[in-house]
Amino acid sequence: MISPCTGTIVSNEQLSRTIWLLRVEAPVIAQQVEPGQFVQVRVTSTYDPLLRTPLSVHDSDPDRGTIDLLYQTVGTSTQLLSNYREQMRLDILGPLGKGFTLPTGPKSSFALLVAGGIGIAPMLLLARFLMANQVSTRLLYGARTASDMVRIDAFEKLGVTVACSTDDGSYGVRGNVVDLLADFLQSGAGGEIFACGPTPMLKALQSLARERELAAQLSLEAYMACGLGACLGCAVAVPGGGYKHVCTDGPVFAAWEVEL
Amino acid sequence: MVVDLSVSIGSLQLKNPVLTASGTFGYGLEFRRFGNLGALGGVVVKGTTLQPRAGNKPQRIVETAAGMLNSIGLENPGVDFFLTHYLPQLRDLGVTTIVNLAGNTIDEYCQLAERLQQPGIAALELNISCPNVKAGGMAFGTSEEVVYQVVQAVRRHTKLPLIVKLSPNVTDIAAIARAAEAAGADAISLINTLLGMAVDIRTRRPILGNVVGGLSGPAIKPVALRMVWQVAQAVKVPIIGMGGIMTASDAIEFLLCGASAVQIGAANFVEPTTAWRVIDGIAEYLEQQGIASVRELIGSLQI
Ligand SMILES: Cc1cc2nc3c(=O)[nH]c(=O)nc-3n(C[C@H](O)[C@H](O)[C@H](O)COP(=O)(O)OP(=O)(O)OC[C@H]3O[C@@H](n4cnc5c(N)ncnc54)[C@H](O)[C@@H]3O)c2cc1C
Ligand SMILES: Cc1cc2nc3c(=O)[nH]c(=O)nc-3n(C[C@H](O)[C@H](O)[C@H](O)COP(=O)(O)O)c2cc1C
Ligand code: FES
Repeated sequence: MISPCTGTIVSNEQLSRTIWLLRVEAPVIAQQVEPGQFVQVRVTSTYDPLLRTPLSVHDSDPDRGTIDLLYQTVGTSTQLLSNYREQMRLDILGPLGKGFTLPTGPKSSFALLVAGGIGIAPMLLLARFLMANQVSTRLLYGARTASDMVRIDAFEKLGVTVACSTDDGSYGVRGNVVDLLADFLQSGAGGEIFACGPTPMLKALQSLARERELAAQLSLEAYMACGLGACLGCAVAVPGGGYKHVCTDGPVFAAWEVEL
Repeated sequence: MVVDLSVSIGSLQLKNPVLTASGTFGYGLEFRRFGNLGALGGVVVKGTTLQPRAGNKPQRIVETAAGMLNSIGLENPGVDFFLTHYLPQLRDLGVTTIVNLAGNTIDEYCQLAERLQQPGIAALELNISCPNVKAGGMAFGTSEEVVYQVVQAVRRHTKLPLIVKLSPNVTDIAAIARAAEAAGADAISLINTLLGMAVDIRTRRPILGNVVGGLSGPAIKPVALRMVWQVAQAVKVPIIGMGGIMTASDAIEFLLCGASAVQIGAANFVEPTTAWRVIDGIAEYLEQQGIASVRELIGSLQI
């Protein structure tokens, strides 16, 4: 059940030059949200910007009735969101979309979380669910530079093994996160891949997963208007022709389902 | 004071003057969690074609100042799927369902109209902003003669109330409206989206995959109001107005300019409960002003 709600902001904290962590009271969403789902936030009641902003649910606390959003200030909407302070009210619609499918196999199954940049956002709630299901979980996290890497402590606190890469080598291995994954797989390790990040990264991952015959789930982005399956704006091509819709068929897709 | 919200669009009786616009409310079912669909004046479903259509290549939407551009390209599962899959659900929910027809030839429009002569369909809305393939892809709605031909042809193939939805991308909207009326339209709806474009200076490319797209949202309201007013002077058939309606007061402006009903479009994306809020807001306005029936507002603009 999707509900429009107006939640009170608990905190809105700047973690890096461009990345912010927002906690907001949204009890219904906190109860219902599954890893990989998103919300549509209305950052202003004026018409500039007009449309809502899709953001993944970063974490949720059903007991306290709060959800966390992790966002990068890239333009008008996300800048406006960073102006919100505690006690202010925020209009949120969600949870929306189809999230990650959790492994149902034997308890020994292995999850490889691969995040590029702000693609780290949906990974924390996913890690929380996986760890609760006793799936051993490893995070491979790539960013441009050390100061862009956020929330590593939150993953470690859950017991997730974290390996990092940066483009400039200022934190972890120098290089991109797909190479980091390839190196890791070289050692004979396997597991199911859960990924979120820029499209070029997901594309590279898609071919790597195909090569190594690994199952992979990709969380995609698209320009959205409604987030509800009504406008058909968020199309992503599928092999053999035609389109699926990121807001309702996704944002998470099996790697073979989509043509990036 | 109990106010009367009912209006009639030719032989079509509506509980209230608030409908949802084609392409912005899916098949209604996507919004049933936000309110009672049966309480709306009506739901105009996504543009429906004879055969399924995949739609245009992404990027399909982009936000612009107080508005948005879209180039969806009429993605839809085709009329047969609509009839077997969506119509029964809409009928069960008691929705006043209006089907928006899109075709590339007059014959396609006629075949669609015949196929849609079904219980549970309250009216047809003819989208004449589609490219006419036999005329080099120029939109049907841009020439008086072609509008007359397509409306007259469809008229012969349906007994349902026929609403003709005008494109604003024309020189003389009143002349087009008169052609539709003369050819047998029961009502006129307007405006469809205004053709527009957006550019990315970093890539030096158009933002939309289709290069151009349709502009909607608050940005187009002044143009839409002007066109509704001009058409109201030109024809006797009822008018359904739309373009940038976000609130009840926006909707009332359209009624004052001569619309008998309105459609809510892009606002559904911003606030999915808009249509219900607009109904409540119109009722409140009538109460406050001591007006017994919404029909008293229609065309009551003082010049
Ligand atoms: C399902 C989903 C989940 C998302 N989750 C998160 C998240 O958890 N954290 C986060 O920081 N961001 C997330 N995003 C991306 C976020 O929605 C956009 O960054 C945001 O809408 C930008 O709005 P703006 O007005 O600040 O920037 P704009 O001024 O609109 O754009 C700034 C730049 O961002 C690009 N952009 C804008 N909107 C999108 C979009 N919808 N998809 C891809 N690129 C876009 C533009 O091309 C431009 O280069 C998600 C997107 C989707 C579709
Ligand atoms: C995403 C989108 C899809 C649309 N699809 C259709 C369509 O299939 N058929 C049609 O006649 N109009 C279509 N329209 C136009 C709307 O019905 C409406 O005429 C227009 O958007 C102006 O109203 P608004 O400013 O309130 O959105 C579409 C508009 C949008 C934004
Ligand atoms: S964003 Fe409207 S259908 Fe996906």
